[in-house]
Amino acid sequence: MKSSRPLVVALVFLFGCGARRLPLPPPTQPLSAHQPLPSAPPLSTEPLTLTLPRAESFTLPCGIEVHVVTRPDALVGGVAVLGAGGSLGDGSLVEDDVVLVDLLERALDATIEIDGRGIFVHRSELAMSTITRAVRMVRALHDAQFNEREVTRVVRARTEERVVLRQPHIRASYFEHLSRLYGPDDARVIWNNPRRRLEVVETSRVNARLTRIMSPPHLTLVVVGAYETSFVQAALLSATTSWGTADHAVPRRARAPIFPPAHPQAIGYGSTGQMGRIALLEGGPASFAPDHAAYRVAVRLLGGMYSSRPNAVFREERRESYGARAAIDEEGGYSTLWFSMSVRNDQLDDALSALTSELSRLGHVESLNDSEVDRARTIELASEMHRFDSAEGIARAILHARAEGQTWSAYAARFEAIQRVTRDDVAIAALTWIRPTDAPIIVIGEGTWISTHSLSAPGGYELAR
Amino acid sequence: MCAAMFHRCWVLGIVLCVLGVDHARAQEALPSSHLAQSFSRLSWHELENGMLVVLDPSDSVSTVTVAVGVQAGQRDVPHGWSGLVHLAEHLLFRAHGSDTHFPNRETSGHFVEQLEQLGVIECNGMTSSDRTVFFETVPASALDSVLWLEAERFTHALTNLDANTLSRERDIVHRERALRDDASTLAPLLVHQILYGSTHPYADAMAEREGDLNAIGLAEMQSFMQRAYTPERLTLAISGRFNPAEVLPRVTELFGALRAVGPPIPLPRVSIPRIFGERRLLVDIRRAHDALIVLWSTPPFGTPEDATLDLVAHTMERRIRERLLVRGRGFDVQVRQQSADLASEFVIHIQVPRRSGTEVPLDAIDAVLNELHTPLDDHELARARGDMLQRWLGVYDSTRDRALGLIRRPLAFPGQRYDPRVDIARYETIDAAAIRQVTGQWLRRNARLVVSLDARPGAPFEGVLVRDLIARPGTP
Repeated sequence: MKSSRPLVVALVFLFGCGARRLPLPPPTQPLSAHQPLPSAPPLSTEPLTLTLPRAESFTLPCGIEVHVVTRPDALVGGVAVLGAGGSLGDGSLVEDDVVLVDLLERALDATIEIDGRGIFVHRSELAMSTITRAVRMVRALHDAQFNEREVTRVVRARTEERVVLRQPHIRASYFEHLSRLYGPDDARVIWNNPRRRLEVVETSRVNARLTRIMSPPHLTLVVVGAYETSFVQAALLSATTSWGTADHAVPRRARAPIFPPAHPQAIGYGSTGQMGRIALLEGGPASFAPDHAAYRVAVRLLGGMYSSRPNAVFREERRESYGARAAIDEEGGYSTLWFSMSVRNDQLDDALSALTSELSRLGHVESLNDSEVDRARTIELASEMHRFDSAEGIARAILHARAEGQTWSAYAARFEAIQRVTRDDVAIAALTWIRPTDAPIIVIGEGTWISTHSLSAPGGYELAR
Repeated sequence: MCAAMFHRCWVLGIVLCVLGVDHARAQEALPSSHLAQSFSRLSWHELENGMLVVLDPSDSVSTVTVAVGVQAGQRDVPHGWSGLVHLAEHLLFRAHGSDTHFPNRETSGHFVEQLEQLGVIECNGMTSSDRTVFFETVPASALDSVLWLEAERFTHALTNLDANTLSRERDIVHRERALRDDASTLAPLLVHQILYGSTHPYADAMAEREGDLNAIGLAEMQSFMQRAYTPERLTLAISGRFNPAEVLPRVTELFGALRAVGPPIPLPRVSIPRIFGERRLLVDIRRAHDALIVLWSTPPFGTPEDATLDLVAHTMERRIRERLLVRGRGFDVQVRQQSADLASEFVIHIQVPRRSGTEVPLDAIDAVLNELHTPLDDHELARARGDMLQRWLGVYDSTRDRALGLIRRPLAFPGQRYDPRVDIARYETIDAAAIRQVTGQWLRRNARLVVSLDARPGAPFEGVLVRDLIARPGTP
């Protein structure tokens, strides 16, 4: 072995100081030879419209509900399934679901998610290959049963992963944040608990759960691809012709969360980072509720567009942040709003105060101006159009509507509702759903700084123990 | 009659497929024929001023993405001016229009606000080693307005520049730099400096030093932008719903008036740095976990070896994860062929619990490398290709990702024009023998950097080198 190389360290140090900075050539005059644009900026005055892809549906004799969307000139298609025979928090053991999702991901080679609506399965596919994939997927779901060895392997891997993951402050703070939003006994909280014990999982129970969730009468299948409905129907009929229609008792649906008030409202966590962070979680209305359209516009104003106030103030004016973001996650029977902003550690107190002030402002109609609401509404409408531009977006939208007990046309109605949103609607939705003093907030700051500074939030502040 | 017959034959064919024939292998083949069909309307056009325009129309979407790529990245910045190209990107992203068209430009002339009024779904600016990119996705009806705004952005980028805007964006770049330092990147800057030495264009590509940023004044920014943002370095890609016959004349009208005022910065050449021996580095760094990084220097983006190493990375990641996770000795395993235009890096990054050492993960890496000396079986190769296919499908179903791909000008592609059909064809020719050969040639144990990151509370965020040993000699 050679000895260590102090020279390299010295060179790195020298580069680090910029000691070799040579002057750049001076700019040429005149600075630019570009010709100015001949015309004034064109204004797009065309109103935004939503054209939903044509979706056709049928039900197979075994009970599976199938929706087909034909995209003849698209390369990419997708196959998605909703198993609504059970959902996270329906009374079954959450630990069983953790293992079941892992096992299904391996068995189906697809993305699997579970929430209060059921299990979602999705896989992208060449548009030309979606029929074969759909048949393989329903067959795999029908036949899937897992043995003791497979279950034990997942339990071991996830348990060991838990051991090494328990340290990071961000994961811990995220878990506590969820716990304060939903309450400590909620299934979503148990799912994310880094200390959950998977040793309680039993193979027979996992298999029984799978059979119930994926029982054909509770399955919705979406095929987005290059084929007309009749082709898909013929293939699926052939593949499922021998299946029975045996139904399984459906457990009660997941309990809707109650979003208890978080007191103290803000909790501080220490980190090793140079930049601090403020994050907020809050419950909101269901996707197709009457005030959901206005709520979406309110969330755009909070952080869903570049000109949102937290971004404009902390990034553009004060230059203390790289930016602020807010968005909505659609869940079963409700939605969640998350907000996140990075900010310099010594600005955390100001940022916290600015966030809670903005939450209050959104609920006061006289504080909102027409131009910001117009802009937020236009972006929201465009985003709704964009949702249906990808095979995965289409498949997820259909399943989400079904999980909420809605038809495909509910999206058209929601689009029209967004078009009609006024300042008053935004203020009412914000006042109803966004709680400036009760919504749980986490503040992550450099360890020494956060432990020596007391921050203030309207609903109280405390340093994490 | 004929149509009905055709229909029945198709149905019969599909039924036969799903009943008896195993089409798994066919599905996992890479889709060059389908891909060629999907990009059959793709076209390239070079304007008189040298700017390249790529049109990628589609009728199956309602939105459109406009992306402008500048063939100027961190590699084009002289030593001591790190951050120059990133700051230039910020300045253009937050640019505003001319006084002629926007008399109240401070209140209404910023392009981002203009884009928001059009319903912009996503917009951003990005800087990498090889290029700078600006893009926006909007409803299709807003395309003409967006093209006008992009042309206005580049027309007045230099003349609208002022010290106040420069200062504001510099502060924001400082904030971004701090965030990036906090995040767990694959390899810290000092490892790149050791890999590339002092003369390679990528030597400073990861750097963004506070002193360098603070030294950038208006004159330096103007000088750089004049020589880097020239028309022949620009590529405009449009992907989504539009009519090419209407759009191309409009693009020519709007962007054809861009002119260079002097010669551009010369394009750098492909250069793969060589590592002699196995160098073991110990770095103290402020972060949450210890980590092991193993890094090889590999061929640039667009070469057949680059594609093969991409597939190898995929296979290795799965195998290493399986070996380590069930033993509780490592987590967050990432294996990447980090492709770039001049030279790529094959990087393995494994986070490990503090104080548990990096020997076990290194043994796992070497064991997996040994396994790759025996050919992959057909099943594993098909699986790897199937996973690659999933990645492609994600990219090709998004107008944003398509446009961002199409603005690339890789040196290894014919005519330096990125063609997805050429790209994916590279993967179709990979077989077990190629994997074995490329692994043996490029992932040698006596030509790599092995970096142990020791997480320490008081250490600098950028890390400090505390030991550098040659553990295994290599041949020059």
